[in-house]
Amino acid sequence: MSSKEVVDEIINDLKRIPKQIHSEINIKEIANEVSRVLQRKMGGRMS
Amino acid sequence: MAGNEFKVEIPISVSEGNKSSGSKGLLEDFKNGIQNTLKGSGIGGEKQTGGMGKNIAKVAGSVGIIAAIWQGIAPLMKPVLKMFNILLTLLLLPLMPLIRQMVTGLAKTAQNVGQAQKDAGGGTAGFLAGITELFKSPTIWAIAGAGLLAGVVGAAGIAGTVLAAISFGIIWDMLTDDEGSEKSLGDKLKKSLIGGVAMGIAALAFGAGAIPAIGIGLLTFSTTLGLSFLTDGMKDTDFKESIKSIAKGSIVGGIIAGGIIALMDLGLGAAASVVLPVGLLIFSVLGAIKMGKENMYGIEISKTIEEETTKAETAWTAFKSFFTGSLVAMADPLGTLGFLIGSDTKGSYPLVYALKLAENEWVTMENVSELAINQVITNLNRIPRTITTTHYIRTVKL
Repeated sequence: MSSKEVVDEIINDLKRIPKQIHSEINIKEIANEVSRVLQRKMGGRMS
Repeated sequence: MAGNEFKVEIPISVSEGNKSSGSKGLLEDFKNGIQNTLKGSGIGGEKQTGGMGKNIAKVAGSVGIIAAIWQGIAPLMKPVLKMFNILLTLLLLPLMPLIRQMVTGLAKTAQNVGQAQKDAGGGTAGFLAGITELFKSPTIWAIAGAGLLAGVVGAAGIAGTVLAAISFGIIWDMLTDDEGSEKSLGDKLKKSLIGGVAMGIAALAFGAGAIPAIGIGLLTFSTTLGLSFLTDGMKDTDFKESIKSIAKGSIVGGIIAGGIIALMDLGLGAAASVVLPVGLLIFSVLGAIKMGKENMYGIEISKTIEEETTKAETAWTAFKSFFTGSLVAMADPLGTLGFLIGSDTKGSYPLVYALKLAENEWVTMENVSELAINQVITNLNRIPRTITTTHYIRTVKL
């Protein structure tokens, strides 16, 4: 499986999380951390 | 929830080495995907400043996410409580001003009792003066009536408590409002509408969706309006007029109960079947209280403490007898009301059953979220480091 497919899966996993519960599980932090991990692994600069 | 939008930082290009379009496209896909996921879902634009962010910054990669999960999943009981709160608020919100007034009434009563005891000089005379002052208090009568109700219909549980709260709240309002302060129908509609709109907005804020929010708003509107009619009925000096007002309020009350059933998606048939019994119940209770009031407060002021105490006790006995007798006639509608609220079996007890469904829904969401986030961690670990540097060697002869 390519990295692109894995990222697609990650996006789908995030989409599965019910919106009603986003604030309770602090999805903002989780999403930011996912971004940071990807940045570390794939290089590049932050935008 | 546009006010909570935030910007997710996504790497869009490598600063050195491989700048292939494939890598950039992948990251753009992620950026678009995550923004779509979070769009309109309460995820906002300000920089995160909470403690979790600091903690996460100290750890690397997936470990940070795991920390976020555990810190994030832990407060999941909070939304469950919120859900319970909003349903209970739906029932009790219209009563809050009345309950507040009742507490104020209790404080005044305590003050009056203390002053009467002091004026009487203590001892037996002081005690009797205190008791007499206590019996003068409409709040005490209201609580006594509520206590009777709860005692007789104990099996109805919460239903009896809610009904008692309505009863003593309205009694208090009836006895404390000035005769000339009766509100016009326009005032009633305006205040009821404000309450209904506020409740609808609150429901929307909790993610109830537009249709349920409208229903909740309408119910609150109806409840407030119904209580206004009931209050007028209780303080009206013309008995026929008061009964008419009580009947109006009772009909509205019955419709409210039916509306709650409909709102819980249990069908309009079930809703219709509770409108009449609940309306009859409210009418019976308040009609009885109204008549009891005529008897109680028709008592002339006594000349001595002893006479006053005796008359107060007589009034109490009459009130108790009348109230208890009325409750026997109301056994069936009280049972209906009790079934509305008192258990967790589908079909018979919609309110508690609905609360249970709400709790289950939150637990399900928690499980789905935890599974999804664990999967995200797994997938992140599957991505290899792909930074590649394209470089070439030039040989320069000097």
